[in-house]
Amino acid sequence: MALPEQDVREIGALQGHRVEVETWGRIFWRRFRRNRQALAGCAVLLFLIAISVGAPWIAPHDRDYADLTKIELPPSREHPLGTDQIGRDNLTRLLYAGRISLLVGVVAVAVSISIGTLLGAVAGYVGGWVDNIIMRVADIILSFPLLVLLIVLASIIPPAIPSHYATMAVIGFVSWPGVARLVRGEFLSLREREFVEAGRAMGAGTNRMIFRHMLPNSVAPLIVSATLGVAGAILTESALSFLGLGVQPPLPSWGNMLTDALTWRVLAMKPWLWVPPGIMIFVAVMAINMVGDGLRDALDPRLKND
Amino acid sequence: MAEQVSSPAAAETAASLVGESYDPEEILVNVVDLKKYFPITGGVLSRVIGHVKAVDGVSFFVRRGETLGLVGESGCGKTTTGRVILRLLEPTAGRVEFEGRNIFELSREQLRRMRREMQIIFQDPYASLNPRMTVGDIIGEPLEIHGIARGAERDRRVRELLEVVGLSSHHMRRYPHEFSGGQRQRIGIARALALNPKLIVCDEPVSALDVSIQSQVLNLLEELQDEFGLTYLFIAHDLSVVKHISDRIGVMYLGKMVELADEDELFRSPQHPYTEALLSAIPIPDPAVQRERERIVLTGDVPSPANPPKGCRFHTRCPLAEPICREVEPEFKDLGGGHWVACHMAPRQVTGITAG
Repeated sequence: MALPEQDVREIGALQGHRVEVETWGRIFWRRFRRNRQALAGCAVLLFLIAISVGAPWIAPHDRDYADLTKIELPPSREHPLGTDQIGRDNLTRLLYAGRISLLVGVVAVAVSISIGTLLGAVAGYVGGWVDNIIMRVADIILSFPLLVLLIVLASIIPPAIPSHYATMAVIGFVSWPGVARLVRGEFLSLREREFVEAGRAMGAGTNRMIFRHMLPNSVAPLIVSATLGVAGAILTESALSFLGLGVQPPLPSWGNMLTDALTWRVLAMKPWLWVPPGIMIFVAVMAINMVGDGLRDALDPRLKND
Repeated sequence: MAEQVSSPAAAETAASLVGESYDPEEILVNVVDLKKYFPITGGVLSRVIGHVKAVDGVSFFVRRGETLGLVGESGCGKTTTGRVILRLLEPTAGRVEFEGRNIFELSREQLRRMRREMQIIFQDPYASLNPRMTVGDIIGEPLEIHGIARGAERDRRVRELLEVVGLSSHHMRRYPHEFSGGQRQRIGIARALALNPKLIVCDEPVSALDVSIQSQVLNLLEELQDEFGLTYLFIAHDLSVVKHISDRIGVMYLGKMVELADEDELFRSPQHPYTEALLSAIPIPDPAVQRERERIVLTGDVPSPANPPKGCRFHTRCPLAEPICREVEPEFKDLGGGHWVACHMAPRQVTGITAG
């Protein structure tokens, strides 16, 4: 006779056995696992990370070695993706570019999530004029066309700072308002929940209220927004680098590899110079978005845990 | 605020109900002319254009060890009263004395310490427990906040508390979503008990529960009261629930206390027509009696608390209303024996319910 899982656990507990507790993590994983798209996205993403991190070991050539006798060669055995305008191996540069592009994406999001969460949490919890000031600043940043703001910021950063660090900082800085709005919205709704009131009735201080009660209940949308943000940041980095303001050569990124291919002659006749980085951006962004969607579905508290 | 109390009768209710015949030691909470107005804002500049008078001059007291029931329709201000007494909401006016100290004058730190003495049990057992914390963390949190117990000692206390409320100690490591509504409410009760409070405000603690579970939770609350000498302010809209648990009952209507009396006195001889109407709405579990009895059905809706009627607030729906009711606000007066009522027609002969 089969008993429902709940009963089995209940009976086990009554008899004093150690009963397995289903934690949030486990519930999440059970739901996430069923989403094939998200799993595929995860696999692709892990693969991209692996080949980028492993670039120094798997790349067939030296990243910056230019052989001027082998300019813009089409794909061959020696150079599977051909060579670029100054005779560097394209595959090698593509692998190294992944390191920069993925890193910029992750770090930029880490920056924007940190700033945005902190400011959004304070705005939502404290309210009043503090909220007003923070959100008006956020509105101002949001009201500028993103690219214009990025271009201005990118051009005033001193050249002494390595270009990829500058790019991370700039992208992170312009994208925190979205996160702040999200967190503030969550906090405003959480503030009315009874367990938050219970916390106040116990005499919990501001720190405890924010970090124990409210933030843990806002992580689901934050994780989703962070994941999707990485995809956005990779695209933004590409756009910036494409405009010549992001990651500077000789450091390769998928974006500046595209810039280098930006002539009519190359576009028409040398597709191996621009198709691979374009595909990498496309695949990476797609994979991350699929993971993000999967996370959103798995973390949605409105779905009954089944 | 916008409107001042004008009639001499109303001004008199501003005084504390605790007369000379009461021993101050006996009174745990004394609420005096409590008011809570919520601003209504409008227009582009969000100017304040009015106030919702959720609680508008309520006075009562709670004796040590008793259960004071607070009933009324939704929107009458009973929940707000409970929240303001715990200072979870800031009052507009009035005093709440807890063991003689006005809690509205406490500093932030003093208030934090005072929170050990008064706790709350919430209506919705699904919303009142943090879904991301284990039961052990939820019940142990007040102990940590007030530096009473940590680590193993905290866990020991939590286990004790779980057993006190009829759960078992192995539930500690589980999350709220793994429990039923009744069990969750027990967790909420354990959390409220953790600090050994003197007063617990029970804000409709059984309204969200299945009827079969309601009595279990009510009995638990009664047992705990005996065991720990607790004082309850029990807020509910269900008179039969309140009758079951209360020593005295206060009836609220539109931000005012309209009647306050011992439980049996109130049921035997309700003096306010609103109380009478409420009592007549309690179903009697005997079809013969139920069919024969006369029900008082009120007409119309509760007026808006933003713009309450002049005079007696109940006159728009009152079957007994006289011209004076439209003009003069009735005084909240003691008819003797601690039976207070705010009605011009009182005292009068009324037959209430003795059954049930």
